[in-house]
Amino acid sequence: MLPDTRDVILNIIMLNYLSKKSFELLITFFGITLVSFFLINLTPGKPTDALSELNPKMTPEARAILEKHWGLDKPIHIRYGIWLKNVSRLDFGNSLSSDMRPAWDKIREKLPITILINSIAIFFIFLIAVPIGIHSAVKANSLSDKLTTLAVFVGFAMPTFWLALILQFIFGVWLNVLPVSGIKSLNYESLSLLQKFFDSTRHLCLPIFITVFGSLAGISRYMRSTMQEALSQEYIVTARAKGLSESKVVYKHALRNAVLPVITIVGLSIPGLISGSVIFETIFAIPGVGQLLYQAAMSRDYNVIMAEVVMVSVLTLLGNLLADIGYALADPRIRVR
Amino acid sequence: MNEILLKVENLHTSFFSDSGEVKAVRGVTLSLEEGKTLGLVGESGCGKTVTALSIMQLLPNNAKISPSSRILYKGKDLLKLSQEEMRLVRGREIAMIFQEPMTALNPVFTIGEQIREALELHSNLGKKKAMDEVVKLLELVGISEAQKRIKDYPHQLSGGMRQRVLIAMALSLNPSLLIADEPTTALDVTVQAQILELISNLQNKNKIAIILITHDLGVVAERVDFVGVMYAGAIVEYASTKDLFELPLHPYTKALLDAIPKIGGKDKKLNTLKGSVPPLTQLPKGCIFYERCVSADSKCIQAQPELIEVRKGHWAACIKI
Repeated sequence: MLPDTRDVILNIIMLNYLSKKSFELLITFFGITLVSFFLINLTPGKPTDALSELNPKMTPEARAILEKHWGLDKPIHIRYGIWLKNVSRLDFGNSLSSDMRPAWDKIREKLPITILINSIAIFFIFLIAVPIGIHSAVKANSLSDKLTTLAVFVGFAMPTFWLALILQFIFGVWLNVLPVSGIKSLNYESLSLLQKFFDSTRHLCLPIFITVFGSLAGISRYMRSTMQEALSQEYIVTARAKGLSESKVVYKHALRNAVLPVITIVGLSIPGLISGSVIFETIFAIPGVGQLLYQAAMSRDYNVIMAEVVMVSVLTLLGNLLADIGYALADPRIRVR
Repeated sequence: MNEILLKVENLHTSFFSDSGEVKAVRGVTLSLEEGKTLGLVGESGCGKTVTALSIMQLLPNNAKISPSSRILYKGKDLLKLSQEEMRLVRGREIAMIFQEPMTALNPVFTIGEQIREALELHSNLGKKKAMDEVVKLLELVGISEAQKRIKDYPHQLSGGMRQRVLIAMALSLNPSLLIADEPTTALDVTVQAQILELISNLQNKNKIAIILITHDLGVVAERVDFVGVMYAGAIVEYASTKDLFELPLHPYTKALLDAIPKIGGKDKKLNTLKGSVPPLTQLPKGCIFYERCVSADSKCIQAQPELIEVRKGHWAACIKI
């Protein structure tokens, strides 16, 4: 076969694959919103409760007017239909809380800080977990392997909120070296640019540390097992037999094979981190989408909750797609198929 | 007479696991002259591959070579070399090709790259020159359109082609000794002959000594100068190919030769060797072949037979001879 024909065929295969995959993702997305919408509406309490149930002067008529105003009087399947129609026009509705601002606007302004923290966290997770995994595989069952395994599992097993409180106590109260909440100090506006950067860094230390520490186990253990698998392959013996140095054998021949499955994990770890944001943003009073979701859930602010669900599911599905594409780009066997 | 290239003396290699010590190689002694071919034959699990990996020192971590063993290559004991010194021996002095060409190549690198990195390692060629050299090597092992093929990944090649790539890789550094561990077992019969022919041609051209590990006695008869027959981790008979086929001494060798189907043979039923190799964890006091031997008697269980020179250059380990 001529190389150009081969390329053309490959492109067709790739397009075919992508369109099929996109269709799958669309169906999945539809399913997620359907289940979430019904679940949230089935939870006890209504967004109007804060105004009605807690207000002794509220008459039943006024309550009915309020519910009608938000469209809560209609049956749930009708409401889902309306919601879906609006979402298809990218309209997520207004927040049901007292400010009544568009739900998407509320999320958009809180998104940057969450994305920033999570991007830094993912960067550090990989920076630390991948070498730990490689080391544990190369020196499998050695003392250092066992110690790092213990350390990452401690991070995995420890409840985030508990660790956060302990660290706040140690670094914020006891040693008094790090701030315990927020993202900027009171005098932030009066600081120079460098000082501002330093101030933000100090505020982000604990949240990022907690996110990273809790996520090391998954990726490092995964890396360890894929690396061990790669190192036990016959092509490793071949590589050694031709006299390659041990570092070439490990870091070129084994690593390239072992890191492929880990690529998938990058995509898949995004939603987990966002849900982790709910906990640490609430504890550290960080004004991000996690904190917003927590507040919205507490006040049954359906529109904001659903807008966040849409955002996280789109991220998850995109992460999946990117993982597939990344895998295909990195592995020649998939590239050709 | 040629110089002795490799001399293995009293090689003992064991694997240690939770269930105890497995004595995979028990006192193998062999020697190989420059440019000659030694065949190692025997059933699966008789220690052929472990012998080869011991010479290369590519054993898994749970394996151990006994300190009394000696592997002399060009007069130097390989077992006394540091890891770094041994690394320089691999590829440059002793190369190895493997049984499974399907898994012996790294799936995520092009074959050109995999040969080039071996070449680059031991020579000061630039990247471009090295690639030209790779093309030459691929042509040498009979791969057509080598210029295009260097960009192929292993999965794009057939088994025979991959074995050719592995041979090219092994020969890229001009080794003096090539260890071929069942190089044709995983291949089609027609391809088998081509690969063996290729190895023989390259051997004659470059004066390479070869250790050919196989369980195919037909291959041995055609391609090999000397034969070591292995059973349960030890060499039970050692002779020139001619002597071995004309007058096999050890009952195990006789049984192996009997088990080859003969065209036009009178017997309808193929002679087979009953039973299997005993576990290498608990070795008997006497001859390890006792259980399966047709000519065994009570004397055989008293002590392990030594390998003795029965005729000139023809050794066997059996007290009945």
